[in-house]
Amino acid sequence: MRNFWNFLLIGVSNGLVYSLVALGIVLIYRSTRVINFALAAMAMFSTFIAASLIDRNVPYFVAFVAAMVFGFLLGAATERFVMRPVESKSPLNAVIVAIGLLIFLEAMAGVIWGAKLRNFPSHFSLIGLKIGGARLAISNFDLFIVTVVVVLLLALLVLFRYTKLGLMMRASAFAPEVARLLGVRVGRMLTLGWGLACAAGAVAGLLAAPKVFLFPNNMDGVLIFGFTAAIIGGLDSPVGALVGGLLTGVALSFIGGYLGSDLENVGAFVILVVVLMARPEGIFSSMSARRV
Amino acid sequence: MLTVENLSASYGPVRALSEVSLAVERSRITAVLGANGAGKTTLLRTLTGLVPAGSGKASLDGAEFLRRAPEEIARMGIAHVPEGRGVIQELTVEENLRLGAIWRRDIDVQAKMAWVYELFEPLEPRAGKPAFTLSGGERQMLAVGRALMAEPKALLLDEPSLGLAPLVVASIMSLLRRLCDEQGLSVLLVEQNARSALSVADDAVVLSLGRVVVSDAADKIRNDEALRHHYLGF
Repeated sequence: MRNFWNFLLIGVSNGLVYSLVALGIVLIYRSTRVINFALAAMAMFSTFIAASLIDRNVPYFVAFVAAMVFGFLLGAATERFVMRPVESKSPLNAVIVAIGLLIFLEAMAGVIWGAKLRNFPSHFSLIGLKIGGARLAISNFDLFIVTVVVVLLLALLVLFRYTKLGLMMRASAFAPEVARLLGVRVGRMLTLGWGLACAAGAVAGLLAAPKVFLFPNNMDGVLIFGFTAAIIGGLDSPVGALVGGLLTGVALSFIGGYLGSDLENVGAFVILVVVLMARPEGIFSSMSARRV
Repeated sequence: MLTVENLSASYGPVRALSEVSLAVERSRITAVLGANGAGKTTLLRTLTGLVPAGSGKASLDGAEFLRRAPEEIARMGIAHVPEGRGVIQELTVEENLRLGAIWRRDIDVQAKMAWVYELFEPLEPRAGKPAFTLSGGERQMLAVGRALMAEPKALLLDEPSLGLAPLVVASIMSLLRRLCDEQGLSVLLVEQNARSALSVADDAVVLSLGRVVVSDAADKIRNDEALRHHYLGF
């Protein structure tokens, strides 16, 4: 029984990281209908920036924020200068450009920082918490993950629900042409959306790195889990991304815990295939509402 | 005053508008009539920058606006209510209205919204509901109300009567007339439903294959039986 609770807690902690990745995918998909496969590389690159800063004795939290800002700028620049030219063409073009960018950034990281595995500091202890006499599988760092993700999600919720900027961003995502007719500068909203998505990706990178280590491909596996989460959530719903991430994290934690960790990747693909076959529009998609 | 001079536009090799000219003064409604495919919708879409303009000019109170980006044209005071209502279904009624005035910093949004709710009474109790829960007539009210939020100088309406019951059409048309007079709007009213458009319009132009074939006072066109039969089908 203790195993069960431990697997559940680990699943939630990992799942929240997948939620962030899923959120990064969803924010971009729902405004530009592009799956940004480069998100993994952007997250990794931002994490390397933080690692370099920490190597130069910059405090952890300053490096954390700097990596977020870097992720934001990288995402915004990608939309403005790389994606904008292919935006009006077929969506496949944009996806291929994104994959190209993934390969490019991962190669660049190898050139700059080397391709070997390195540690990334977690700032908080990774050793399991003790409750009573028993040691749990979750650590202070897992609590930090929960806090960061919850704060970030609440901040995005407030932005989207309660600010003029958020209203303009939602309008641009749902109906770009109508938004432009109402005077919304949709291009800027898209740039901003990409920036926010990649900042979320950067945070996911920072939170995942202490567990998966840091190297140019370190986020590829996490991206697949995040992508699974996004598909479960319906690809265009931020709430769906959160729930999808939690479901994916918990499911994979149980699969890894009870059946062996080798099966986690396979498990993710099985979930992906099952969801795509049974309910391709995801659980939280607003697609059905759009058909009215 | 809205002026269009010799406007042309093409979709690839297909000419959609040829040398279209018209003028709408303040507090006046000009109806744009014609069959399907005559270029009515293209005319509005070209004016607000959604379709690239070929040659020609268009200005509002002397300020040229053709070939600018749609969002900049909107910010000059030209509101375009697109065909099929154009309400954003995922947003609530209130959010749609707020969006209408989003670029105006000098407007009391709350007061303006109260005014729109007064004009379109069915909207107020639905304020917090997503727009996809509204009926066709309510959506049209929302689309027009949203366009009015920014206090535009010109209002471009694309088929506001489409799919609505005759009674609803009549009430929207008479409201349009009232708003036009009270707010000093220049209204360009694109309609397939020529009869109801001519009942409120001051002037009318008839488009056929992208050209203006008739341009006259609305009551003259209403009383010209031969012309009505030939172009308007009633």
